[in-house]
Formats: sequence, C-alpha cells, structure tokens
Amino acid sequence: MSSKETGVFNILNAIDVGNHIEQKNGLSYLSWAWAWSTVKSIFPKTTYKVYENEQGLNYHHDNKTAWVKVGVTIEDECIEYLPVMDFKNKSIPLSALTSMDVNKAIQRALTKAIARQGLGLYVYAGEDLPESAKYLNEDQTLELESLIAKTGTDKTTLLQYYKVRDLKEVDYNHCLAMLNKKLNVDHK
Amino acid sequence: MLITNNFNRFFWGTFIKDIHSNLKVLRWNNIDFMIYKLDSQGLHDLLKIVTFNNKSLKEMENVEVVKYLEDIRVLLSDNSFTLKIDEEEWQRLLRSCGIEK
Repeated sequence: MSSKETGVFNILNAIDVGNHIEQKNGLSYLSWAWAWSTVKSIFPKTTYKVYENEQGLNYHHDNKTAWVKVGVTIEDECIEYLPVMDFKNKSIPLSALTSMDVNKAIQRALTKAIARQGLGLYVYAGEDLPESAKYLNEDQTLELESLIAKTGTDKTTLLQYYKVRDLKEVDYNHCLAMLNKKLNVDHK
Repeated sequence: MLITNNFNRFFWGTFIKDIHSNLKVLRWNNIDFMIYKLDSQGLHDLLKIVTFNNKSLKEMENVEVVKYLEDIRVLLSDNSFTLKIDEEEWQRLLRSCGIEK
C-alpha cells in the first residue's frame, strides 16, 4: 500500500461517524448520503461506478439470486459486492427481484465501498461507536481507581499514555490488564 | 521553501505536536476528525486538505508556508483551540503592557 493510500485511509478512518449511524433490525447502518457527501467534501475527485452485467443490467445473477458490484475510486478503486437482500438480510430470489431492491443494494454497496476506503469501517467491524464515545461506567472507573492506588501508578502519566483527559475514556480492558499485571509483578 | 532543522523543530516539534497532544476532535465542514487516531504525518496530511493546500512544505514558497500556518490557526480558532506558542505570546504582550495575569 502506498503512503498516499495510507493517507486516504487514515484520514477517513479518523472521522467520527457516531452521529450518522442508523439502527435497523438490530444492525448499524451508515447513511449513504452522508457518507458520500463527506467523502466528496474531503476528496472532491472521488468517483463511483456501478458495474453492469453483460446484458447491461445494473445487477449480476446466477439464475437463483442476485448481487450488485460497486466501486469507489479515491486514489485507488475499492470494489464491493453485495447480495440483493430483503429487510431480514436474506437474499431475494431472482424471480421476486424489483428495481427498488437493486437500488437499495447499490446504495448499501456504495456505503460499504466507501467504508473500505476508511470511512466508518468500525461500524462494519461490529463497533457501533467510536472509541471516543465509549465511556466507562462508575463501577469500572472505581475498579481502575482502586488498582491505580494499589499499584502506586501516577494517574496523570496513565491518562497521557492513553491520550485522554479523564479515566472514563481509557480502554478499560487494556488498562485493567496492565494494572493487574503491574499488581502481580509488585506482589512477586 | 528551504526546510531547515530549526523550521522542522518548530513545525513538527512545537506546532504539530501541540495540536496532536491537546486537540481531541477537529471539526471542519460539520465533519469531526478524531485527531488521536492520526499520527503526526496523518495530521499534517489532514491539515493540508482542510486548508485546501496540495503542496508539500518543500514545494511551498515562504509566503505560502506562512499562509498555511495562518489558515491552520484560523481553523483551530474555530475549534476554540489556541496554540501554546500563541498563548505564551499573548501573555508576553500583556506583561509588556504592565497587565499581569
């Protein structure tokens, strides 16, 4: 991967998409219109392409079900294949396919192709919220406070290490593991 | 612009480091960038994009570098962020006027 590609990915991956996630049937979706306008405002030369099949249709099929193929080009092209699905995320039989189903699949594939370029990728990785929006609850904070005191850890240094201003914003699992490890070493 | 060691120290060691360490989120065009997810080079790349600057520091004329830094200052000001060097300069000016803070 070239440094330019890395640059595009890192910049798009640093965008907080938390306020633009829609929930549907327990799954998180990113608004395709917001995703597209965001990418275009940062990289105005971005283009997308809906690949047609040999008959000129905007979907592909194997005579049973169908899928769409969409590519997004910023520095390089990222292609996304997505089955044409119903609201239960099950493939729609070719005989029951409507142009509306195909259109929805194209928009979803476009958003996923943009995610491959970096924007909101964590939504598809099962992370509903960015790290910055995940705060620890009171019990977790108290547990960490207690371990900090027991291990004699400097809280300011710890916060600087995680690049946060408050203990509630640290990576709980990582911090817990580190402090427990330190506690065990001290005991030995 | 001829990139000297002094300029590198100022740009990467003071200017970029201050933003990287102390600004958590940069808002531009209603888009929130989580600065801590970027490294220093990534932050520089982002700042070039949001100030509509597509040249590297080496390719810029001196006056373009100054404009680039000033554009960043304006952007930071929009994000209610003041660079430490500007804050220190402001304090120095206050002191020179006999106003202690």
